[in-house]
Amino acid sequence: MAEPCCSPIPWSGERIPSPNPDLMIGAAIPAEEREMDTSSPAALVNAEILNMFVGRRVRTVVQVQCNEGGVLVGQSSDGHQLSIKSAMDVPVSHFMEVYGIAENNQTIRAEVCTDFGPNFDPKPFDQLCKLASDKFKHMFL
Amino acid sequence: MYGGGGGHYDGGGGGGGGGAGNANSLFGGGGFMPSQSTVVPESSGFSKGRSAQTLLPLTVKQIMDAAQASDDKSNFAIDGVEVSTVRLVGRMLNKVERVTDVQFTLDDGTGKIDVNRWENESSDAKEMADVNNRNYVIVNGGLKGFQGKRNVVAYSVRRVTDFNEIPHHFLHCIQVHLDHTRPKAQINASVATPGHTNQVWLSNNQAATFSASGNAAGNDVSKLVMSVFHDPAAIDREHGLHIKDVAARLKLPEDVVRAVIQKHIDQGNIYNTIDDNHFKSALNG
Repeated sequence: MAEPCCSPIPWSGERIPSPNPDLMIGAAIPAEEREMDTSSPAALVNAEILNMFVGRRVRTVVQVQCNEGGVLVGQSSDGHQLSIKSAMDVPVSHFMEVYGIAENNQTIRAEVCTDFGPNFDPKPFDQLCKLASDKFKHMFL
Repeated sequence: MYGGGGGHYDGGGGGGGGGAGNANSLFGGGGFMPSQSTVVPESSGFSKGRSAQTLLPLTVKQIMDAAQASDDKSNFAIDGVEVSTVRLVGRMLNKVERVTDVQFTLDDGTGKIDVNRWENESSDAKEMADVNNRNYVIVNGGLKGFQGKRNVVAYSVRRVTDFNEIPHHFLHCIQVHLDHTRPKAQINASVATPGHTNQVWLSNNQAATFSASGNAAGNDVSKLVMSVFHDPAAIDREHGLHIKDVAARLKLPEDVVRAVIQKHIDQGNIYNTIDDNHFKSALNG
C-alpha cells in the first residue's frame, strides 16, 4: 500500500494528530473541533444505499485504503470505493466507522470517526445496512 | 460476542430466561436470550410475568416509539411485549461523574437516551472509570419512564472491544423484533387455518393413503386429529389420549392416526406422555 491510491485534493484544514494509531483502536476522534451534530439519526449505509441518503446523516464502515491530503479512501462493505472528507488518521487496512453527511453518492463528510481495528467482518454489517434501510427502517430511522 | 454465553438464537417463541433477581450474574457471562425457553430454576418471580424480565436488545428509536402501557409505574410495551430490562449499544456522550452515580447520554445512531449508573460498590466505580465519552458501550439496564421522559438505569456498562458487536447487536434487535411480531401462526396454522403447509407434507409422505379420497383429505385428517386432542375433556386428562381412543373416535385405522400424530410431534404440536401410545397437545395446556 505504499503507492498512493487517491489523488491529492486541496484541503486547508488541520489534520488531527494521532501519536500512535495502533494504541487508539476504538478511540473516537471528532474530525473537526466543532460541535458534532448528533441531533438526527444516522442511516446505516453501504455504498449502494448511500445513494438514497445524499445530503443526510449517514453512518458506515469502510476499510481504509489510503489517506492523503485529508481525503481518505476506503472500501465499503459492498466493495465500492468511498471518499471520506476530513477523516481522522486510521492505519491502512483498518476498518473505520464514519458518521457524517453524505455529500454525494461516493463522498461522506465525516463528523466522527472510530477506528474499528483490523478485525471487523464487513459482511454482517452489509446485511444490516440492507435490512435497516428497507424492511426494518422503522426501527432505525 | 457479548461475552460468549448464549450463542444460539433459536426462533422458538418461548417464555423468558431467568429472573431479574439473578440477572446481574448473567450479564457478566453474556447471553440469555429472550427467545430461550429454559427457565432458570431459582427464578420464582412468576407474579411479575417472566416476559417483562427478559433482557431485550433494542434500538433507542424503538424505546422512544414505545407506548407506555399504563400510567402506574413504568411499563412499556414494544411489539406487544412488556419491556423492563434492555440492552443498548451506542456511544457514550456527556458523561457526568457524581459522588454516588454517573450519568451520561447514550447515542446509538437511532436516537439518544439518558443513562444513569449508581455506584454502590467499588467495582461499579471501576467499571465506570473504564468508559469515557465517545466510547462505544454496551448498556444493560432497566427502562424507566416518568412523565413521558425515558431513561435507563444501568446494571452494567461495558466498553465495546470487539466492534463486530455493534452490527451484531442491531441484527439481534431485528431478530427479536421479528420473533415478537411474526404471527404466531407457524404452530397454530396447522390447527386453526387449513394452511397449505399441511397439504405439502401430507402429500409428500404418507398421504398416499388418502390420495384416493381427494386432495383435501390429508388436511382434514390432520385437523381432525388435533381437534380430538383439543377436546376439553382430552385436555383435562393428565396423561392425554391413548392412540386407540383417537383412532376409535375418528373411525380411522390406527396406523394412519399414528402417522399423523408423528407429524404433529415433529412439528411440536403434540408430545408423548407416559408411554409411546399416550399423547397430549402442546398447544393449549
